Amino acid sequence: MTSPQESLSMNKQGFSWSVGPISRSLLKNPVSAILIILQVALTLSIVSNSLFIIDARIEKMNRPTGVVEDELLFVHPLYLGEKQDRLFQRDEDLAALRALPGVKSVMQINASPLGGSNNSNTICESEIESTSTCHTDASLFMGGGKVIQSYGLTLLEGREFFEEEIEDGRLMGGLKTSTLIITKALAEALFPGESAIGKVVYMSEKAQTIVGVVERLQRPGALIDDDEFEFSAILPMKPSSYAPLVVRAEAESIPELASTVKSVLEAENSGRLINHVITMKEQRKQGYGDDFAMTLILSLTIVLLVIVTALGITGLVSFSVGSRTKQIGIRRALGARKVDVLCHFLLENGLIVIVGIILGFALSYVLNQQLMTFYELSKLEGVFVLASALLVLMIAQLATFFPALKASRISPAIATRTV
Amino acid sequence: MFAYYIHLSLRQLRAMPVLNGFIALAIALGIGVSMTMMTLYQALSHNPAGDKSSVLFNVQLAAYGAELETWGGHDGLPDQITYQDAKNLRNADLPFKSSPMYAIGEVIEKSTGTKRLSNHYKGRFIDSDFFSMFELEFIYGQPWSSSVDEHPERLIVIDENLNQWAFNGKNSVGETLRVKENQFTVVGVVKEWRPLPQFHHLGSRSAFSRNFDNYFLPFSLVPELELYGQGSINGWKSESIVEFKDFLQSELIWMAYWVELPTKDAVSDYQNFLSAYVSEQQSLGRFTHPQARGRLRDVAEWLSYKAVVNEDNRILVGLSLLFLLVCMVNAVALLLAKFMRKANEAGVRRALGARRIDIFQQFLSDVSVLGGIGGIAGLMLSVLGLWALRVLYPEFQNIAHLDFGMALVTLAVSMGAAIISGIYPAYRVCKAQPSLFLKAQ
Repeated sequence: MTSPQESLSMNKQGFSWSVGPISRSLLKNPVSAILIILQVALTLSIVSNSLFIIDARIEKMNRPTGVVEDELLFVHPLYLGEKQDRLFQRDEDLAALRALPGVKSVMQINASPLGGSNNSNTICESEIESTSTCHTDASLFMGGGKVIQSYGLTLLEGREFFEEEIEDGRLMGGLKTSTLIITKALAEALFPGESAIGKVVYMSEKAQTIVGVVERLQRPGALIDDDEFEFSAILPMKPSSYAPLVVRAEAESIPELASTVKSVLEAENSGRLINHVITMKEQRKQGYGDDFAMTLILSLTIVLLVIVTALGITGLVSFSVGSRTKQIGIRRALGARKVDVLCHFLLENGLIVIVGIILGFALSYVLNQQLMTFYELSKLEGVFVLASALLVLMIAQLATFFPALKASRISPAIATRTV
Repeated sequence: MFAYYIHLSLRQLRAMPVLNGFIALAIALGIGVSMTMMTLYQALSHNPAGDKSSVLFNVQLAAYGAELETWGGHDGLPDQITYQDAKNLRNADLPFKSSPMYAIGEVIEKSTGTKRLSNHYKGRFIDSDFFSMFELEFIYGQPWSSSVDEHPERLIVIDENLNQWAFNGKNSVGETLRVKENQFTVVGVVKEWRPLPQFHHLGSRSAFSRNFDNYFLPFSLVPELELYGQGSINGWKSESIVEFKDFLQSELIWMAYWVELPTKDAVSDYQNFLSAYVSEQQSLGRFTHPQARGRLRDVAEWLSYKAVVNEDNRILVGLSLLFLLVCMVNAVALLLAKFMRKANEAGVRRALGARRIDIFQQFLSDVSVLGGIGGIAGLMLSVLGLWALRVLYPEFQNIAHLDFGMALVTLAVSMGAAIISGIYPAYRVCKAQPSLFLKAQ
């Protein structure tokens, strides 16, 4: 509560930004201020940690897979009969798919960078398997020599597979093939600082020569969060007959193909089932569904939290204006301009919010510590706290502005009514 | 008197609509968000085994080679076992119910009707004990006899959904059905069995998978049917696997094994048996790891070991409770403002003879009304929130529903929170001297 004399003298000196009277008025009624401080601090800690989680998820979802996602369609067939018969039906299906309009390339492959199915194997640096020589786990892509073409990968070094290197066979039946194309990330991990071309590694005790390096090919599952998400190797092997068929076509013909391909194939051969058809875009949506959901829920939490905080501050400032109507009238009568009243409330609230923000910094790190201990979350980066602090300050000032504006419109005549 | 207070409270709602609206909204948002997350959490952490939770045990074996430092989960125990171990465990002559299991997703063929083939239905290889251990209810027929567990016969138990598709829902005992070109005779039809989370094979199928088991085949048929499992198959050893029998002989893990141990003594008996089994396998040169051991986990332990409630869900529950706290702080602040504005009215009442306790009661009734309104609005928000969660997480389709109990909890939490928020402001007003308010303004 500022005394009229003080206000008057301040205005005479043109010094209306004094903190003294504000802090004194705050100390008179500290509970409201403490509540705002607490609320701002909690809001800041939740918002900063949520932003941090959202940022990590967005980064994960934006990771390039290395394949031409817009041009791909997966057909999951289920063949019946003996193995030879199944493979025959598969080859017929591949030929039928290849003949469809707009189709550039077809293959059968065991895995998709955004699909659920994954074959992985340990890559050893020597024939003898031990913990010291076998520490790299890689996902295997088996598409019978057509992976680079059908997935649209970028070959950085070396060559594609030769026709004679391609084998039909099961992975578990012992590896028949002896050449590999690996990703740049895997090459750098296995042979840091040198070219991987021509190098030999071992998989299931069998020597494998690296013949090519592709720029990137994300491991299947979209679940792999760690820094090994591009540890992939391509084998010149055809997958088992249960694997999906991949169609690469012009991006604009993919939706049309997705809706017709099942009936086209069923017209050719009714003895097998087409389990489902899915575009890679749909696969992306499914694969990252949880991350998308988390991002959305946390964003919504931030918005709601900011609304609640703003409502609270508006409510408290309104109350404070209401209970000081007479004093404001007196100040106005003694010569304070409207803008002086407005500034008084903005400054008063600004001070409280800044105290809350400082407390919020500490609370953000405490919350982050808790999240790190219980949920394996990484360390909060300062930029998220600063961004959140700025957001909270802006919203708080905005929430103050309207009741403060109302205060500034209080007529000086009010002071003369009741004494 | 109480009705009068409520009447007054409702009147004053209209007197300060904006401020009261803010308070109710803050409570509603806090309750809505936190109850949505709590309901989801409750559903995820549900133990579907009920009474059987503490008597059903999942068996884990650290049965890998010494060349590996550790393998499997964080405690060095893989979450599935090999066929060899499953076979050895089921062959042991012990007086406990037990069953190995693995899922298959083969094409089913019916002999009648229009659509002949389907791969919509999932199967599981089990022993006959499974039905009573996991409490499946038979509509028609019964389980195959325990002699089939030793001497394989091509029998099948189907659930009501598959029975509807294949036999139009009629009593199909004695009818035949083909699973991947093998003919089976139906011996029983069970009610749909859909435990959520699907705790029985967490090593291979995700807890909230929308694939459920629709038919059951005798485990003794595994070698002759040669059907590979659907789900995770993991291995640590380089082995040459050409045929199905190599697959069965391998160290690949792809099965679950459950045993029912009704008493503490039974548990320790089985522990001892497992230790003896591990020693035996060590002496046969199979389990070469120095920490080779067996481990039993009951359903509750197994659900928590496999982290069925994942990290995202737990973070969201934590954050939503903090969110509720912010909303409550907010409500306290706004209630304080509201009560201070009403202080002179209280002063008049005090001067006219009302006791402090009367004023206090009046204020608490105001707060309860606000809490009730906020709670109902919050309840509606959580219904909306759960609907949104079901859209966002299709796998929670069947579980994320607000039940009546949770709705009552929501209202109680809301009223409780509002009353707690209102105590300090009400106390402040009651404490003040009435004369102060009478003089002012």
